[in-house]
Amino acid sequence: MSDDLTGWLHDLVWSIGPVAPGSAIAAQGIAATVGKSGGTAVVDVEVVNEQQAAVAAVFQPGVMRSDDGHVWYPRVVARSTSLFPALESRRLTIEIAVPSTLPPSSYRGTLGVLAIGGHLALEVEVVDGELRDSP
Amino acid sequence: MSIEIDSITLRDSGPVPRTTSSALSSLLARLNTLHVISGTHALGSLVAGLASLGREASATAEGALVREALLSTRIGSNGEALWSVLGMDDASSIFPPSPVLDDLRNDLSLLVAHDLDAALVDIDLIEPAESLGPLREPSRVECIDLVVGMWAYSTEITGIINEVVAATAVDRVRAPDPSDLSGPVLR
Repeated sequence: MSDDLTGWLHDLVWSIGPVAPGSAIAAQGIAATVGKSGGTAVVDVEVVNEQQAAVAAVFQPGVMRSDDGHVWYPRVVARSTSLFPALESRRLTIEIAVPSTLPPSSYRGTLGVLAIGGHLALEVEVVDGELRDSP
Repeated sequence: MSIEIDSITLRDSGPVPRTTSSALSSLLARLNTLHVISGTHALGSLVAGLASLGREASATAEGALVREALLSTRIGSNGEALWSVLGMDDASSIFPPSPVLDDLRNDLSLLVAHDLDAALVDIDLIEPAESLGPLREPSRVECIDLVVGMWAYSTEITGIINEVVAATAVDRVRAPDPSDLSGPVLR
């Protein structure tokens, strides 16, 4: 019985990742950006790591939806970083491809990291592809 | 009215702060526990942990497309056949999933920590030779071998899966579904 209990405890310790410290995302408001159909949209945010250990965090956008019901599965073209050193801030830019078939509209979704609780609300205003870049 | 922000904060998710010492404790506890649980349990929990991660990833935009693309190819049907016939579905369902990403992140944080030397003092490690016995002629394995090996392993998987997904026509844009207009605006 004692051996059973010990074995069960060892199994439990293995399974739950003993005292595995984790991370959580704290963010309020919405990260907003603009992208052209057929081009890209760039999300640009400062990531502040308040933890005393570095965090490897691959930020990913979730499924985006427009008010009229269009659903967009955004693809990340490039990320500036996925490693956030302890007690440091780093600028994170994520370039997202905007399909040419995506109708101009305001799309809302989230920006988060797998297995890290919390996320940032994300809004991408998709405009006509012929619109000129701002200077 | 939306509030535009330009910063995200990464904080501790629970009562145990993420420090080099606590990340090292987590790694040590896993290593020490390996000596007292079965290989089946260790491997089963890892498989269950990866599968749990896959389900979570499938809820993301890219993950949903990867899943849909893979399911439309032979990988989906052959994988399901292997899984079922070899009994992996039953076996993996009984093991609690390991927190594979938390473990990976904590282990990676040790590799880039500035205060690792201080944390390595006074660790309590079980001598592997006593419990494992001779499994083969000793052949030195360096940590950098493992790191480069993991890079090569993940590169191989990523390359293959990306190639399969790229060859599969999956829509990244879907027109409005009348029955879906009242749904939540979430990923």
